[in-house]
Amino acid sequence: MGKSKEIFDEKYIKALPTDSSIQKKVEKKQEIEEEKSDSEPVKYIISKPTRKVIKAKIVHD
Amino acid sequence: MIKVESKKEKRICQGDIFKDIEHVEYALEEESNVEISKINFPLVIVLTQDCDLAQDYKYRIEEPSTNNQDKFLISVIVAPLYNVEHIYMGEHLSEIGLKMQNINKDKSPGQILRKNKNPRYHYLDFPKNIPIASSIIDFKHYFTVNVNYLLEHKSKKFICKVSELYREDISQRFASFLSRIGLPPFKK
Repeated sequence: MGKSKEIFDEKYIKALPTDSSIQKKVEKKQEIEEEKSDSEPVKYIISKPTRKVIKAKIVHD
Repeated sequence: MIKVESKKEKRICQGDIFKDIEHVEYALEEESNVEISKINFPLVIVLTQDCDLAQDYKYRIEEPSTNNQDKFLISVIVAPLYNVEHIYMGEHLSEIGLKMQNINKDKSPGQILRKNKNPRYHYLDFPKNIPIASSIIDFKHYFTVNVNYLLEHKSKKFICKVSELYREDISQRFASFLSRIGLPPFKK
C-alpha cells in the first residue's frame, strides 16, 4: 500500500508541470498575444464634438 | 477603402485630416465682460482647393512679399468627420445638444450613405494602419479655420492626408453639394 502510494505520488509529481515549464508556456502565450495585438491595429472611435463657453472679465489698468 | 498618406508636409494640403480643431461659435464683449463659445471637433478634413493652399504658403512663408498679399487666404475650409455608428443613430452631435436624423444602417438609407450616393455626406473607410474608425464627412457642417492657426498646430494635430484621387472625389462632391439648387415644389 505504501509502495503503491509512493509510485502513484512519484508518477503524479512527474506529470505535474514544473515551474520553469509553466513559465515558458506563459511567456510563449504572451508572445503570441503581443504579436496578435501588433498585427491587429487599434481603431479609435471618433469622439463627439464638445462645446466650451469661456467667460472672462477684462481688467483695465 | 480610401488611400491615405502619413507623411507630413510643411504646408496645409487639401485632404489633410487634423484632430481637435476648435470652431468659435461666437465671441461677445459687453461692458468688460467677454464670452466666447467654442466647439471642439475631434477630426476635420481640409476642403480648400490645393492650389490656393500652395499659393498661400508660397507667398506667406516661402517667398513673403512686402508688395502685396494678394494670394493670401483669410481662412481654410474644413468639414467635420463623424463616427459612422453615431451618424446612423443621429447622436453624433449629442454632446452639443443637437439631435440629428436617424439613418437605418441595414436598409437603403444606410447603403446609399456608404456608396456615397447621398450628396450631403461622404463615407470614408480607412486602411488598417490608420487608427481611425469608419467615418462620415458632413458637407453641411463645413466651417473655416484661420490659416495661421492650422499652420501653427500642424505638427501636433496632423493625422494623415487623403491621397490625391480620393481627395479630389471628396472635393468634387463638396462643390456639387454647395452649388446644388433646391427647386420649390411644383403647385398645380
